[in-house]
Amino acid sequence: MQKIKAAIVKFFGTNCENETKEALETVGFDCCIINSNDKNLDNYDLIVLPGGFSYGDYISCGRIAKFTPVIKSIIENLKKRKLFILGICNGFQILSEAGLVKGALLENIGGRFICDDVELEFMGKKFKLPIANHQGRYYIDDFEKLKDYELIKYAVNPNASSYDIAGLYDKNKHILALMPHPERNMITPFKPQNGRIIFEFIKDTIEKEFYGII
Amino acid sequence: MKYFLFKISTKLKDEIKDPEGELAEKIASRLKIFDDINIKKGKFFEIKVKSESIGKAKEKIIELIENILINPIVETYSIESFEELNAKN
Repeated sequence: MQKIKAAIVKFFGTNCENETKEALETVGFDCCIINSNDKNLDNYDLIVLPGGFSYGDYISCGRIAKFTPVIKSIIENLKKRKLFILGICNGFQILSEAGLVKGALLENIGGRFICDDVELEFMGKKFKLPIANHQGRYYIDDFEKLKDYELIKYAVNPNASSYDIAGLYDKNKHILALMPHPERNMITPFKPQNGRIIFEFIKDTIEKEFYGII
Repeated sequence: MKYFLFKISTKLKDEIKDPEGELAEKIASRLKIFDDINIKKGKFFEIKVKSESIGKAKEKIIELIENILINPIVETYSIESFEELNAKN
């Protein structure tokens, strides 16, 4: 099988696109960085909204990016074909503002910017990944709304997120959104490459669900 | 066409924890300004628009607030005041 094609979207203020590209290439994706004005996503199976500060976090994190052509195109593509969407940190904020994942992200308790390694649990696996955010407190009013989601949970909740949620995976729409940065744990020789757990999960899911490869 | 000035305030819904408001409450009671105090932080917007009528302007202002200025899942807003501006404004 040919390499899976992934597009990493760079908005004004995005600053994690290069390490995200490198991390995805390490796992075997064929990656390119596209602009937030790009509308044609036909060639890609995976669209990544990376971390950073899109549009300077003006008004609220991710608020302005939701009006860009690429987000409109993602919504249109999701209606007509299988497409995997990954949102990391600011990408998660954009997805929640655009209504592509349930809930909202609020300022951390204590008003602090939190930069730390946190212990996570996802699909029965426990591992550590770094977080770095100011508006990373996940909020949802009703747990029932998350019945179609697989959850990424904090072992120790750092910011009072609802139900210890660090990330969400929509099993039907194939949208994975998480506050931790898996790409930051992929390119340092000093830490275990735990980011691989997230990226390999995405690769396996695309191969299985989109191409029927088991 | 006329010009109108809207003054809008937004804040988190009451049931949502507001860390900056709580921090200000703690400091207020530490400084003995108030013992019993409840602070909610919000934002304030002044919006000047050109429209045919106040009714049409208000309709568009609500669309603008709900799409751009707030996230309706977690925030609420209030139109504090609106007025028609005279020519020299």
